[in-house]
Amino acid sequence: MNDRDLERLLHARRVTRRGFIYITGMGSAAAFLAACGGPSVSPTSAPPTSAPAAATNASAAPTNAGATNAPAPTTAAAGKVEDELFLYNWAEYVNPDNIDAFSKANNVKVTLSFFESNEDALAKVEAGGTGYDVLAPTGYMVQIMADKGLLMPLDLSRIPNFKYMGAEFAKGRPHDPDNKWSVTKDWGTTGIAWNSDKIKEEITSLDDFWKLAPKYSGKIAMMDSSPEIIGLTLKYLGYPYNSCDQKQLDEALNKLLELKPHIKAFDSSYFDLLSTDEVWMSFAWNGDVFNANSKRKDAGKPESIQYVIAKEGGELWEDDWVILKDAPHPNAAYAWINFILDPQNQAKESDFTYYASGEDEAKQYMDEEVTKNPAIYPSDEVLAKLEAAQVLPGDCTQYREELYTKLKSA
Amino acid sequence: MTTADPSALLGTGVGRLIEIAFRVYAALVYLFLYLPILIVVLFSFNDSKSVQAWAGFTTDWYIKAWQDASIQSGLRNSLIVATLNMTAAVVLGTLLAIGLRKSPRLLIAIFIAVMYMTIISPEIVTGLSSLLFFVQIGKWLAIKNILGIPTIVATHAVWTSALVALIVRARLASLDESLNEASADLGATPWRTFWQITVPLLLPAIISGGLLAFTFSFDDYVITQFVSGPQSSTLPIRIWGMVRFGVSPIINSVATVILFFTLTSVFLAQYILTNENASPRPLLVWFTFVIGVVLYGVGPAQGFWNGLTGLEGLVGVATWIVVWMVALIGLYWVFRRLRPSAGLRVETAQ
Amino acid sequence: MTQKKARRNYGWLLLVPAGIWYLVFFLIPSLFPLVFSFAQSDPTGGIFLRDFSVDNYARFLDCNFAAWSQLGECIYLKVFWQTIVFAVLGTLGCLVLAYPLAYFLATRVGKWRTTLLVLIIIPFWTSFLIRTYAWVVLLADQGLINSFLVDLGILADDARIPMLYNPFAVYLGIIYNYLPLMIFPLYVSLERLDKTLLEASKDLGANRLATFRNITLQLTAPGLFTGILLTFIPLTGEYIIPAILGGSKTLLMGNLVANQFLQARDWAFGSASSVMLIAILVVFILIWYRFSEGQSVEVA
Repeated sequence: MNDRDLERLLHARRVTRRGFIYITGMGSAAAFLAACGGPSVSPTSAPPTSAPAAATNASAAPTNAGATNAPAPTTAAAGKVEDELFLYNWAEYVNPDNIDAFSKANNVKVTLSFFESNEDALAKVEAGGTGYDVLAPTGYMVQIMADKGLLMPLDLSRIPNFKYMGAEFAKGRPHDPDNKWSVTKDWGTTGIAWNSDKIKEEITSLDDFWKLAPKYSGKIAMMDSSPEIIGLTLKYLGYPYNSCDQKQLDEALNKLLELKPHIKAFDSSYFDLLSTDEVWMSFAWNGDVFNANSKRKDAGKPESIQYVIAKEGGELWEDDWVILKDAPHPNAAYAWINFILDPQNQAKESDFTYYASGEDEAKQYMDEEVTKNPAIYPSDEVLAKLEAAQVLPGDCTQYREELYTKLKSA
Repeated sequence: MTTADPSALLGTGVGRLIEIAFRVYAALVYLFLYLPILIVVLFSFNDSKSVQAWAGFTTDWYIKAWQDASIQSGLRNSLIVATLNMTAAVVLGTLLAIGLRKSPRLLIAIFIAVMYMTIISPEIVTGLSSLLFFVQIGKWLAIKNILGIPTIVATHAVWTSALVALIVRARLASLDESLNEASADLGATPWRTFWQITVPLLLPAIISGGLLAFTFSFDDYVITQFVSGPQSSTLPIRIWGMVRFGVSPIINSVATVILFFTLTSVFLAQYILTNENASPRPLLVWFTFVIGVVLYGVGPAQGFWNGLTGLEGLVGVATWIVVWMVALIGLYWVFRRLRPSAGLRVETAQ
Repeated sequence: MTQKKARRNYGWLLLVPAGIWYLVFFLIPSLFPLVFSFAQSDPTGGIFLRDFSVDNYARFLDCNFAAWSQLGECIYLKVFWQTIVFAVLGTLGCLVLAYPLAYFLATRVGKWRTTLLVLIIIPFWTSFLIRTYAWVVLLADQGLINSFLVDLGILADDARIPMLYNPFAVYLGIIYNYLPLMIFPLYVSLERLDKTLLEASKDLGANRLATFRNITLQLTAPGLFTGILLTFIPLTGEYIIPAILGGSKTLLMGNLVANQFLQARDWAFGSASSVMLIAILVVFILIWYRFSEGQSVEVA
């Protein structure tokens, strides 16, 4: 007989059956009622002041009045625009002002959800039943999703503002030549970013990157994403970005293994590292450079992050708007896409995200610092050196992934 | 609960040194645990987004977080999910642990294997397979938007109940059967024995397990990301989405607020539970404050103050208030009943 | 006699709720990856349920002895091994840190016991990401600790201590985040220890170490055992902490599975890797249970 137990029993109060059930029951009841009953508040998008504006009056009739700031007409709606819209997107990738304006103009409650990577989004969308309407995946993912029958074919007549789309983006895009599934949201490049305050050498090529690595060992980063890492290394060796040649890929692995001891971190938020001077040189997506510099400005540091597209070449990518096949609010989806394709709204997007728009028309409304910046709008000769990432055949993806595994576990 | 008197047990000299060492060590561990928290709290007041330089004191971020509806709904959903999950985990896990004690070896082996499988299974696999499963169910039962708080809770409860079960089992293993037998011999039904003997003895393990279950559910990202719908985003999902662009001080302020509430509640509970003559009034005041804040900020209040029309709004809000009051009164009642009763001493025959 | 029978019936019943829950919400969904592991992946993600094959498992276990160079080794078994080593070291670290604290709380602390326990877990109600990034802020080369030391003149500006993006940071992060999983089971078991036994041991002339080894350790073995397993097991699937605090320079099983499902869109192989991980670990656990059940000491 354990006296401890006895003491414990006699000192503590008994938990009666009534008490236990009462408490857990109340707790659960409370929680359930909270979850199901009561007025449900769907989250609106991020902007702090939008709560009153974006909250829906369920009884109010949705109007198709013209948007407050865009001169272009809104959608010739095939049906009434629903009162809700669910966007699935990268974080901080849409100007909150645009969401606000759209919301007010069409009386639509917009809900933003974020994904971490294209593949994350694919996994969820493929499994189905997600409730999202509009997505913003990268080009190659559009092709994959279309092949899997996950997307709604676009009726371009419902997107009048499509007429503003630049020639290269209105037809002939490799992943969606006839714009059957997608319209361009924005586009960008992948190159090299470096801190000119700390690195006195001028970096213009991937060769420079590899040559300077031992000197600046421990001050280098790259994004944690195998297509870019492998692709850029292939370009460095003079091979195609999308090469499936095993010999070429093995060479690329060796080159990367050379670099690995000098790499501080593989991190897709490398711009944070650049902004705090933790690293001085990194593979980069062009828009991130502005992010890094604005952070440096906040911290009182010189805005010395430079961006260059390597001599050997780089990647040209674009993100697109698509509508999911089982979108619960298709009319609102069309309205949104048409709204965002208005040149003035495109300009607002570019001013916010620092990524180029597919519409030349939009440039006139943009900040000069955006349109004149070669990191955002590179010259044609530079553009010619870039390749787009493609959807690769299964065994090629497999081989590349193995490469990535070997690189990381070395 | 006896408090061991160190000097009686270990004497002076080396014993004393050991005691001091223990205290110093514990203090260091708590410092370690709270060091990053300190940073978070500090920088939630920083008048700049930078985490390297202090730019002055401000409460701006708190105001911004207060007004951010997506964070509030995230917080609310997280609390709901974690509470429901904790309840399910504790109930399932405790029953499981006790039931396993009296089961044949084969059953024990099977259950243990399954329990550990739930913990081993990589979250991404569990998340994805649960997603596929729920979507299938949704198709068969023709439920449109099946993903939501119930699906999150169902999936979380699987491995948190395993956690609870394993911890309770560890405690149970060193428990004495003779107490149960004595109780039975004295004529108590198994039901009574369960509630009056077994559960109180297991309480530390149950509470520990419950706390862990709550915590891991509250903090979970990977599984939740897969099985939550767009309207049932929890706080981690909101935060992960925002953190790609650097931990905004808004997030720090949310964390600080959570910290404030939990720490205050804990210290208040400590005071009430361990002082015989402590007045419950501070606790009552505190809970009223919490209700008020919850109602205003996190609950329907956002839409309530800005668009209250018709009966639905009023009825909904009234339901909220009633339910919360009842829940809190119930919690308070439990606190009172669990307080150690005074003056009962047992002569141990030893 | 009747009462004993009634108790046994109850025992069986108690398993039913959990059993059903596990069946519906775990075992049945788990059929998906199990089936997938024997199928082929659609290169764009998803599965062809065409032929039954064990190719994925073969690939996992494959060691390319032909090319006996750095490029031709057991790619995936290496990852598995590195994961085990990592998990073992992490668990040991947690154990070393947690045991004295659990012992202290269980035997030396009176009124404040529950509060102190809850205080251990409160930091975990702030988001995992927030905590981890706070460590990044503290440990980075340009971070708070280094900058503090430089400001004080103890360190030169270019001689900062690298505390981040290396194994030190990873293990620190691991121990930080897995401490509760180790402490609680230990505490729960230690708390039940009868002080009078310790006194008796002392009276009989044993020194502290002997008392600890023969009485405390033996009687609280279940708690120790549970704590170790509860820490080790989830550690084998951990990959986010090494990614954030380690600069993503290592690949663990968790990364591997995640990458296969996401980046590589190879659900079949990802499923097979996952099943392998689970199977190996479950076998290991069952063996350990067999082994330890025969060794545990019954409380008198």
